[in-house]
Amino acid sequence: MSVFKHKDDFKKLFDQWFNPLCNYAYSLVHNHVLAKDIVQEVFLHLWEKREKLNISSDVKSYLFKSTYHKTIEKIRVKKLQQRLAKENLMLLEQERVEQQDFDRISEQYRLKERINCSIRQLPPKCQKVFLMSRKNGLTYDEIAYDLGISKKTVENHVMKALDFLRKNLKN
Amino acid sequence: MSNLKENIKSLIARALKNPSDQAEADQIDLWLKESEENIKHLQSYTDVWEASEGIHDYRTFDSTKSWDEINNQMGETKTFTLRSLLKIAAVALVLFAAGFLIKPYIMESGSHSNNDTATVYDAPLHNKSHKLADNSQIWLSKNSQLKQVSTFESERVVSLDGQAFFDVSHDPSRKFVVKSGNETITVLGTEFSVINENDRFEVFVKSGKVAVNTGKRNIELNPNDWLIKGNGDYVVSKKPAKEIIEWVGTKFNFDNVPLKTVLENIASAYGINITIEQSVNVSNCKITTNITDESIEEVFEELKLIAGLEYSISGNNYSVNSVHCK
Repeated sequence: MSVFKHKDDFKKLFDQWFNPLCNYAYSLVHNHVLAKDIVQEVFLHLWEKREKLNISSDVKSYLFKSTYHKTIEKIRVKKLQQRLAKENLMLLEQERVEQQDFDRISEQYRLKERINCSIRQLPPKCQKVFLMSRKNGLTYDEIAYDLGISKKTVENHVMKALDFLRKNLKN
Repeated sequence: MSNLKENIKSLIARALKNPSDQAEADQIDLWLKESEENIKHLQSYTDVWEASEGIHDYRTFDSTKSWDEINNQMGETKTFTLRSLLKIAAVALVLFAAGFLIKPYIMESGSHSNNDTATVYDAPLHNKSHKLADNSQIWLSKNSQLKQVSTFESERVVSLDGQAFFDVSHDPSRKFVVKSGNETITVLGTEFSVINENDRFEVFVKSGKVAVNTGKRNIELNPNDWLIKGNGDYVVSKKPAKEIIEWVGTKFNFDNVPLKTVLENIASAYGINITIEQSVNVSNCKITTNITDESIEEVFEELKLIAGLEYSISGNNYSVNSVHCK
């Protein structure tokens, strides 16, 4: 029937998806506390409904879909700041019309989670340079200037990071 | 050779960040033509680069803390749903036993002008939920009827004939009023629950404030207040929420409720007759369970499990033959 009969299985699911879901929720509401609350509610709901649900194969899509709907609900109810609420809701409703592909989104965030974990294993300097390089609008020259290193070193760090990530993600 | 390789890496790094320099792009093209492997190589870099988009925003949330919070609430799933129900902003549970009908003319005589256009919500066949014009959600039990008796512009007034559960949307500018016989319940934006059954009338307030007008006086209720009507008098005391019987559509949260009451609720929700054989003693039997959108067969199977209930069915008539309560 359901994918988890016991709390242990549920905990496994939680450990695997909590962080990706929080980050996904954050991408929708831009508020860390709210994002966390939303995901907690999604999991609690899932637990309560565990005997009713029949989602064995596609639990990750289900989680992302629930997070998305819960987010819309939250934005409506809380109305955050008036402006944010309006913009986000419009954005979300628009996307809803286009039918969200939660399977794709869940894969995306699973990958992000793995990349995030891998980045943490990089040497501190390399880690820092790589994260800065993935910020929009920040050029290698600016990073080099910021950190007081040469542009060449910045490029080396970036490629070192990419090498590491790509090997790490292979398995 | 290794020098060239380093050089290519720099080129790739720059191309990923800013893919517009033609001269550098040409150099990469040259390198790509050297071997199939180089193409795969570049592909794997671009894959990772694209996948890491937005990664600087990606953070690690405190999952341990969140798990603890969830875990706390999971331990008592039975009461959790009850509590979460009470948490819904402005929840009113109004129960009227069958036969106890609020006469429609009470409100008709009060507001002739709106009557012609009054919206009526009913549930002729089974429990049914409706959304009101103000986005409030109501659940009506079988044979119940709810009328919207104001335009909702300045005040939201409804009258009820039968049983209903209200999830009232919060709007301080428009009071939500439930008229029920002598009593008028005014929601001031809060969480509360009401039981109105035969001549039993109770209101429990979880948080915020609820005003009850008894026709003679106004009673304002604060959190954890229980208003109880007895012998025509109203008494406010503190009472645990535990004793509330929740009713929403075919959703029941029974918390230590006598089996007899459980069966009565189920019978009216599912539109069936349940009789208890005379030889069966159910007086010691208390039930704690959740029932959500289950078929009547499933409900009885559940009762069989938790109360050792044995039963027989003939058409719409369910007969309880024996019970094994601890």
